[in-house]
Amino acid sequence: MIINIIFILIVPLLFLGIIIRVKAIWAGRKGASILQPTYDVIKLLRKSEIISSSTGFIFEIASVVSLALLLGASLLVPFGNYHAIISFKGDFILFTYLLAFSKFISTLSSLDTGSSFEGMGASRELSYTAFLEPAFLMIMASLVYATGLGSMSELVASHTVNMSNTWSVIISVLTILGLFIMMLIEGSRVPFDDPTTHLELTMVHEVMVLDNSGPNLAGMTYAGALKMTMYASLISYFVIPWERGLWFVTGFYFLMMFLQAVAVGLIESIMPRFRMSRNLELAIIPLTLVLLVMFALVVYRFGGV
Amino acid sequence: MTITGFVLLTLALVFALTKQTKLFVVSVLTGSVFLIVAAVQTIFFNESVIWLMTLPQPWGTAEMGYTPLSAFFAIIIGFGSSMSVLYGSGYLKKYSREGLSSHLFFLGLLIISMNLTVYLRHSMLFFLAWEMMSLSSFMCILFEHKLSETRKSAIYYFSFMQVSAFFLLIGFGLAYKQTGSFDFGAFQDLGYLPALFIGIGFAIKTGFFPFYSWLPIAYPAAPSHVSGLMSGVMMKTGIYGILLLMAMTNISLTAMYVIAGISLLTAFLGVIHALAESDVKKVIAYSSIENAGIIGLGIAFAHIGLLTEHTVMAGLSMVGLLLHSLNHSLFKPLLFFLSGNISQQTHTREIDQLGGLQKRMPSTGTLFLIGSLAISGMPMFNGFISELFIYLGMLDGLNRNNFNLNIGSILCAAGLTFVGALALFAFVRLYGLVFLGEPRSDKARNAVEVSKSMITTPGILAGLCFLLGLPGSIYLNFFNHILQYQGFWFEITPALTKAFNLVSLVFLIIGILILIMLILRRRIVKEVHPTWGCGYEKPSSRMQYTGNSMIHPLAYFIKPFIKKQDVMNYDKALFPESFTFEAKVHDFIHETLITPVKKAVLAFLNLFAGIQKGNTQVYISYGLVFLLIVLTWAILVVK
Repeated sequence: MIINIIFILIVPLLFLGIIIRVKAIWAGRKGASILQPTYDVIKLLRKSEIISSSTGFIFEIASVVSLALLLGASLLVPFGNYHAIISFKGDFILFTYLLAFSKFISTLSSLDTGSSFEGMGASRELSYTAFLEPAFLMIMASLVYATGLGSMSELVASHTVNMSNTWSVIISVLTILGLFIMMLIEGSRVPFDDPTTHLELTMVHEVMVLDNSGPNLAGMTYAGALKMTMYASLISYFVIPWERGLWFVTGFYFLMMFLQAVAVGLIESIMPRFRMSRNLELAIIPLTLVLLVMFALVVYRFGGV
Repeated sequence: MTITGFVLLTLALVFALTKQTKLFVVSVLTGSVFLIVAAVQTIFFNESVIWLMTLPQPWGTAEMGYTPLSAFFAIIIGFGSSMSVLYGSGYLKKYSREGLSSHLFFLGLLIISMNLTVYLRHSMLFFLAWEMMSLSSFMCILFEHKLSETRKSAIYYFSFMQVSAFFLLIGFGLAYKQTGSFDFGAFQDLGYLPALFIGIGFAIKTGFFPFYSWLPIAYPAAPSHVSGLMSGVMMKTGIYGILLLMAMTNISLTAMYVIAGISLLTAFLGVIHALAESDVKKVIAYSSIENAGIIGLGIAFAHIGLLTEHTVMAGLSMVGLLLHSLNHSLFKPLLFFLSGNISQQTHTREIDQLGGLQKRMPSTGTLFLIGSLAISGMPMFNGFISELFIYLGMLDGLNRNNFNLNIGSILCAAGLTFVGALALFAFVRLYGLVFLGEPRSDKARNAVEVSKSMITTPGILAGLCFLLGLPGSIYLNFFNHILQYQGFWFEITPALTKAFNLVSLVFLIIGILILIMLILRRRIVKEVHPTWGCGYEKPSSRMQYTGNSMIHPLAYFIKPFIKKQDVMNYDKALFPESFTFEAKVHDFIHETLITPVKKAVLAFLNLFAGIQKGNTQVYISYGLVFLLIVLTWAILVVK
């Protein structure tokens, strides 16, 4: 449990650090240390805040509430060889709704500033949510179909890819792809969003936090990284061979997390950002993938083609 | 107990006629308390007093009293009507006393008739109460009858209710033909046809697809305490009716799948209209349709579980739907009452005219936020727990060798999440645009907080929305008696109790985290500056996102389901000086179903318009012709 908590606190910012480092190396630079995001967050935490005169109490509490909700959600996610701190039958419903709640609050805080940019960000973020939430729940429901209603840890762990079974490979690959795209969208990475751009018209998440500064911004940065890590952790579970003992599994888990961070970095380096007006159509990809997963499971259940 | 309750409620009618608002409120409150106590006794101690009344032939014997199921709805009705009356007494202060007595009288009558619908178990008496409920609510809507809009809406509502009554009457008639009795107790294994008619009658009241188009027209027209009462409480009589019908009918799996599909469609159409509407009250009214859909999904899955002998699925869905009915009767009136506060202080309900109200009306704003969170099903509020029950019910049915059910469960669960996400969008948009940012007009800029009497009632409701959302596991046992009575009993496994306890634990941890971080935040130094506008120095409220621009990204996807019309008026001159723009959302059902039917009926009736000449002599000659016909018929046939 304590190890889990340490994971939750440390891994997200390292994950972000690796992505940035990969991008730098690809671009031919030496790049900052992978601890740089951690230093940034610590620096931001010590600064004072600038608050817009239009805002009220929502803006004041938003970052705190949304971070607390995400931390609450992270209790349900398994990290490493360990089961999630809290897991029960159907906990993925709570997980989905906690994520939604954190979005509710953070979009409200951006509307609170009365800025047109932030309204735009809120509108885009919520539009993505409308397609991501059902996709996530459908992935989980499809997994439930194969093994019966269980907790999120059990569900992902019982679907580890089995190389000798074609259907298992198909299902895992599709699920991983779906979750990975969801991670990119939720973590506001290229090609759906660009965390480094300063052209407001093309941004989604970043434009929502324009008026946040100091500890507020630190909270938001960490929350974004935490969200990505949670998805990455779920993805790792589809690949880890469980029977190999504690050290092997833990090592493998870290390797998977590292590889995913590298993958995100590479995607960011070699892919251009999608056109904003077509973005939402692409946000439906996870939903389509999930439908494929569901059909694959159904066919698998009925004994293959 | 119940008799005292009804007597007190009748006494309220007398106070209404003498315009003694305070006494009216007191007697409605005490009457409701008596009825609630009787209902609680029925649910928990099985102590139900049944009255028998012998009616003249052929009506048989009428049974009156609570069953555990109707007692649960009696609690919703009793509590909801007390809240509505309490809020109404504050809300009506702003209006002149002219017409007050008739309004209060019909409000009292509405409350009595709603209580009677769940109390009577004889189809014809039930029908009478049902009609009385429709008529009195129609009169309640007409409170501001001087506005032509209100009159039009009330008539629209009235005709829908008459159609509903028509279907019910036919259904009860057919049921009598089949069973030879008017007693609900004797209605067993009703055939396909009576069940369909009765079902449509109840579906119209609840607002299921394709009969929901009256909700967004009637609710906004009514004064806020009445719209809260109608959507929060009166709609539940429809749900009660459907549950009653399910128990009386031979249900088939196919029918349940159809109901699940209809419910999902209802929820979806309700929520996308809520997204697109720009009238505060209409958004809330459309979200009523969405909630009706969610409850409908619960009904469908509860009975699917019953038919496939999957008790856990049936039980959990049943608990979910009952709990959601209760929760909806808390947060829906809350939102309607608060929208009444908004419209009374700003004299507008247009989202694009409002904004920045959180600073001007802090209590209203905070309570509205709680209501929005609860209605979007956010964790830590009551809406989440009931949706969780419905989800668990759906997903618990998986992994059984029933292909249709499995695919149905997955798709319905995903559909429910989709609807939930859109509801979240709709309420972020509603709360964010109305209460946050800068005011978009002078009406909003000059708004001030309402008086205390209009805050306390919503305050109670909001408190309950929060408190009822925290403990999940107590509900498992709470509904035991009702489930047993309705045949939905299921075994509560320790794993299930543990799951709900852990949900509460997560809430507790989150609450503690929020507290700790808020305390830490107090040490931060803050500076106040205007919102960053890309270096632009003169930000104005017109730059903010509007209700329309907010949903623009999604508009592409919901376009096929929504008919939106932009009306632009401007001078054709080179330098146009005046410019008006209006975006209208047309209801899909209203346009494609109701209007053609209305036109057809009118065209048919117009065929006979020639009969009415307005001339007494002509009418007398009609009588003569009629008598001649009857005479000839009598002579020819009788012979």
